[in-house]
Amino acid sequence: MSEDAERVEGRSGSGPRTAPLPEAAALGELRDRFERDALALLPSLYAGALRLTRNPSDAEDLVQETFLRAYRGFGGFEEGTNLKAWLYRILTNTFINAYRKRQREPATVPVSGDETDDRSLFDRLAEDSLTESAEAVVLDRIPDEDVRAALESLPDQFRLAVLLADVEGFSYREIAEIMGTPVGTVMSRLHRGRRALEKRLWVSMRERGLVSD
Amino acid sequence: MLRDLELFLDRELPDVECRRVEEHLAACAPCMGRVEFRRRLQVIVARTCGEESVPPELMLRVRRLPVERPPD
Repeated sequence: MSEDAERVEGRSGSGPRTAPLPEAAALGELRDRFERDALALLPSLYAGALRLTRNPSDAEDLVQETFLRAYRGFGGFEEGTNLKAWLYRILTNTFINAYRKRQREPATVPVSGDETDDRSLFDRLAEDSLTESAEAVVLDRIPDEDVRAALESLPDQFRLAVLLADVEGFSYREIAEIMGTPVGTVMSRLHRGRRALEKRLWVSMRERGLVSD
Repeated sequence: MLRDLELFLDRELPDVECRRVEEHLAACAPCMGRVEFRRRLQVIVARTCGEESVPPELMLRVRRLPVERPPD
């Protein structure tokens, strides 16, 4: 309690005075709740930042900036509502404002074959001569790094939609709030993003000889 | 049906539609195979692209934020 009082004194710059107890107590409670609840989500948010910025140094800056804003705005967060969604909204806005401008879009490696071919991975595997057993079996043979690379190769808006839906499990409505777009746009980006991801995975699998050329 | 399957997998179908799809899947092996494939892929994407161990210095810096800068 006295620690909070000292902090309030130092910030105001005035002479020694006793901070009103309710304010100091409320600040302390807010800080404790933030530490307990928001910090627990750091591994998830850091992963999201890595997928978005595609490099660890920018990811750390993004996370730090996000948590700084989150802490400052935490008084406005409605307890009991979805904290992860709230944090992701801050992360997304921070990313779009600060980092997206600096970064070029990922250079999408041209895929040999029909550019308009956006069949699902399931359908491609179903037609592949090398795939003898059920299509799902070959999925386990894709290296983890290929999956991450496939996601990170997507254009920003597609990558964001797939990340929020398939990695973090948000609903369409939550994703719409996080991205600041209508639900219809979310559904479109998600569908196209998943197809692009699957096409990228198909290319990886061809390169590794898991499927025929 | 394909579009419904995607909504079904995302748990965005109303209950009545959801049950209709479940009934269809029970009777249609190709569609069930497609659904199981998509589920498996989603699990893989979530596992490989999700939670990452946080670098210790980052954890320290973020933990220090509340102590150094109280909310306005």
